[in-house]
Amino acid sequence: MKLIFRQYLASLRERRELDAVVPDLLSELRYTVTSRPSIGTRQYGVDVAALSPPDTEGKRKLYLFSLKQGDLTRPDWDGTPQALRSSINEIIDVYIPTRVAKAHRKYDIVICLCFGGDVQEAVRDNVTMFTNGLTRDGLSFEEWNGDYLAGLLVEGVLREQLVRSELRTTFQKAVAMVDEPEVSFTHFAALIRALCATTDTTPRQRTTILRQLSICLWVFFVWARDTGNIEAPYRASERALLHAWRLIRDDIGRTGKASEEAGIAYADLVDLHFTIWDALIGEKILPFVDKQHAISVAVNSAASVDVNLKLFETLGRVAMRGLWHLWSKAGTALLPDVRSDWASPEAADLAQQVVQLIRNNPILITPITDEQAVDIGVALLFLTMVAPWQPAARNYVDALIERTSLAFRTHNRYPTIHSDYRSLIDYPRERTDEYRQAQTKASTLYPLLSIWATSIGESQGAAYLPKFFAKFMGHCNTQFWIADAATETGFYVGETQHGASLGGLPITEDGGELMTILTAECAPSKAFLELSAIRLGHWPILALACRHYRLPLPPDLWIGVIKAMRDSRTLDGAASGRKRRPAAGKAKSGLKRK
Amino acid sequence: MDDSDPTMQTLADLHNAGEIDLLSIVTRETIQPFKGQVFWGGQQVYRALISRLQASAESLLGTVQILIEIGGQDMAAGMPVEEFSKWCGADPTRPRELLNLVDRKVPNADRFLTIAIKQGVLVDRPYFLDRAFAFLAGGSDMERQASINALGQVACASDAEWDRLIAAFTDLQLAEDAIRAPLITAITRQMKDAPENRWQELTALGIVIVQQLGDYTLDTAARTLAFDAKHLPDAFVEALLSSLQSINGANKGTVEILDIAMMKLVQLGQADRARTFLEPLLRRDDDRIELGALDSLCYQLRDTGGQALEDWVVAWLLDGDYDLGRAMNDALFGAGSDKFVFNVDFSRFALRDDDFSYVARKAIATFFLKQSVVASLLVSLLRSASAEAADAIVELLIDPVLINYAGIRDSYLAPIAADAADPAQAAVQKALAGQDDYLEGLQAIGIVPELHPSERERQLEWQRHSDSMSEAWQAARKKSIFASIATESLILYGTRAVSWFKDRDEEARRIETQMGSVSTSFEVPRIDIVDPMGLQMMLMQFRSEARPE
Repeated sequence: MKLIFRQYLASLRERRELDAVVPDLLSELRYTVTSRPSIGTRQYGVDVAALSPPDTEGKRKLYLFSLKQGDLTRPDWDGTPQALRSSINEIIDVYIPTRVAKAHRKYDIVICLCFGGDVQEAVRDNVTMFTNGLTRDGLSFEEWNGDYLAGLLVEGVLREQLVRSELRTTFQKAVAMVDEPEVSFTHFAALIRALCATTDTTPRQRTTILRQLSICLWVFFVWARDTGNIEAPYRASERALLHAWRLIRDDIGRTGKASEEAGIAYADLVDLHFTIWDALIGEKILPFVDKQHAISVAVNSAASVDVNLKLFETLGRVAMRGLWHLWSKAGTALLPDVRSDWASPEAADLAQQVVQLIRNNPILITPITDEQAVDIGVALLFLTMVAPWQPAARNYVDALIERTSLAFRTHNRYPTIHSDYRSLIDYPRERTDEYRQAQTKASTLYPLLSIWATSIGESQGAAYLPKFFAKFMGHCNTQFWIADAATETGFYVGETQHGASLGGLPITEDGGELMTILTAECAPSKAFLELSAIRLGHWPILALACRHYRLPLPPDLWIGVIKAMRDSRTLDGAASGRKRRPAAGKAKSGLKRK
Repeated sequence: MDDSDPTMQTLADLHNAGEIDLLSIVTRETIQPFKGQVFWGGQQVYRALISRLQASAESLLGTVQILIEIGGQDMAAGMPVEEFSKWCGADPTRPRELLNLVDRKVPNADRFLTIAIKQGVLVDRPYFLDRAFAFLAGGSDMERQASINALGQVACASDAEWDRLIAAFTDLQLAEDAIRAPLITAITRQMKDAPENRWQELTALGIVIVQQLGDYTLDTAARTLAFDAKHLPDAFVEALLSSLQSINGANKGTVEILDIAMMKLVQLGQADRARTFLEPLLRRDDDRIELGALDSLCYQLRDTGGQALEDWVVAWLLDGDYDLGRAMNDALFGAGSDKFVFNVDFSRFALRDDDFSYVARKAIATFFLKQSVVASLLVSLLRSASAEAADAIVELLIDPVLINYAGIRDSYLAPIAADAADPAQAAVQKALAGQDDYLEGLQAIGIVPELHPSERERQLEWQRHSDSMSEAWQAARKKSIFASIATESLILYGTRAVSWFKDRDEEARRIETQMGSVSTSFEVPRIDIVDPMGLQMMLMQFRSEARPE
């Protein structure tokens, strides 16, 4: 176990990665962290400051940590303003005289040189001579190298009293199988479930669990990154966020130091999820969305279904991050809304990238299973919330309507109600009307496309879809999933026995009937409003849970966005003296390739 | 045993001397047990003996009839008839004897009436001609058919005979289908040596007869085209072709003969005529004839190649009807056509600018899975296209051709890009640069293991693929000719098989068989994996596109 952590610490690539772990580690070792790493402000050599717990004599010390990833080499030691020797000088010359709080001046100070790796022999003597020369009463030096830190993690944060030995084994299996993501994730998911499955805990205990999760996920991520495959940590990070949410949802919004700490620990976990997202989607996928078919071909399979499944999963992940960006700019809004300017260049960039991803990987216009309605829903919601990108959402909806209906008419990989891989690789097995009807007995995708097409304006698909339904889809129960009182209990941990199916939804040219039903169903949806993610203003958690556990987004989540679009069209129509109607005629061809 | 074998003569002599009776031993019951080679061996002996036997017409007729019946549908089943005819002609009394059998209504005698008349005319021309015309006027169907056949083979000796013949045939021009069919054959035969004025009369009569249609008539029309087209007047050939537009696809035999007729037209340098004749048949809504059913024609077209094939292909691409395109792709460019390369001089076709990219799209839609055929047609177009038209074709050469089939670059396009004398050089270079850009984009992303299917998924897909291959293999095996004639021996290990066999002398011999491997490969279009519906939509769009006005 210690070897895993030792290797993990040595593999940390950036200083901020070590920054993220050390404060949690110190907190769990009962240090009182007084200063955390921050970017942009000058710290005069100190990355973390913390008061040690009282020793056997009840004496405490003020630890000033200067962090360095990897080994300490000669260039790291001296010769540049960022070198460790310069940092130590700054700590002594500036930080200690000016930045140590009055209340802490009574404590002895320990300057702690903290490395993910080790001090290289070439600079060992320099470091020793230098620190010896500066040591005096009230000021001493310590070295925490990777080996020491690993020991602290294993024997401290993950000590056996906190993490049972079988869970440690599970964790080790997850790390060992990291290049086989499905298996690896299964093990890590078991660890998450076991760590979070506690009752009657204090906020402090919950915070500890979150830190354990966080550290385990960090180790998992860094190991996976070294092997070149971070799929398992990515999935694990989503799962961890959801289980952790259920664990600490009662702490969110509460005052009190312990609850606040739990909130901070959860925020750290979210940051870690974003870090993993950056490493996977940001670095490996998004730079290539402008290349025709590049991402599709990178699936490296001769089976179209593999490309299909991976691309929709990717679309969902990209768009989900966009929702997080918008949420972070949404202030106190409890639910998604539409704005022309979100003041979020990251969201604007992502919207552009979502469109490029679809254009250059047109398999994203051909969902093969109805379950992909959730990825499509997340993408449409994201693009629609950013008003300037609504035309792209409309084009996407039109293209989806055109292709899925054509696929149906030609018996060629139209969306099926089944989603298991075994069924999909051999799909469709028959080209008979009976088989096709059986595969399309229900749909959440079509009502989603219908309400979007009829609300977004000037959609050619809006007029076509009702005709298609009238002719071919009389057997299909169009439906949405809505939350109920049982949802909150098991939703975030993947239980499926909750909620209701709102079925028999009408597909009409203007979407009016469907809108009436949705308005009636969603307006009084107390169960939805009482979901913790909604009640506490964290709606992306709900969207994440839907995507992760493959449930369609509930209409309560996006009905406001739809209403905003419809209102805007009505206003536009009134302003121009005429009401816009969807254009009839042949559906427009798919998104244009760039 | 061949015809000159002394045993034959010995048998005939013994029979003629009354020592043995070769005919009485041939009954349906005695012959029935003999099948295949044994039967045909015996049939050959009798065939060689018939003309040498001294026997009554009735007894010999019975034997010939049994041999014909047991021979069934085989082409060789009718061979004894010819020998029976020789027998009949070998003695001046025999035609009349045979005719008497017909008059006595001896079973099956009417089947041999043609022989009696043909041979009888040589003995007593007025009598037998009178009898033949009498049968035409009042005989049974079989007697009328046999008489028409005979009269078709008896050359007219005078104007009077011509007048009589044409008048009699004209009387039958509206007769039932089964009578009109032999009339066409008879007329065609008479045309061969007819004087100019009679030739025209016969043509006019033939046209009227064939226009009445009917399954037998159309079958005979197809046979006439297949075997006698060379000396027929053009108007009659047109009439035959026109009537064959009504061919019944369920009559497979007639379709097979039509296939030969079309093949003959191609051999006669009339491929255009065959093509324009076939177009309506290949796209009629009801009872469509499939080009695949005309395999002799397709083989002949491919074998002839050159402008005949090019004209055919370009004509159907310009026509744009996908029914024709699909038929052409399936039948003309079936298995083994993957490497076929065109070099069409499109300047021969006086295309308009818009036609160039239109033909290119049609070529893609028609032959999409045959990269060499598509690429070579597009390059051929580039060699004759204007700069503006060439740009559109280059785009098509990049997408969908090159982005789907990277392999065509080295095998076909790279040498063209390197050939300064090739008018398509610059355009092909541009297309290859486009492919480079595309491939560079694909490679930029590198390996992303996170996107790869999991091991479990790969296993499942592999299993599905294996099952599907296994099913295809078993289905192909059922149709395999080799599987039906060869014995199977499964080799579990090693790269060669060693076995010991005992020969006739019971001496064991060692046989060693080196094992080889047979494999084939093909390039799957990339877009079929990354955007299958997009590919289908593109092909549908290209297929349904109408030729620009």
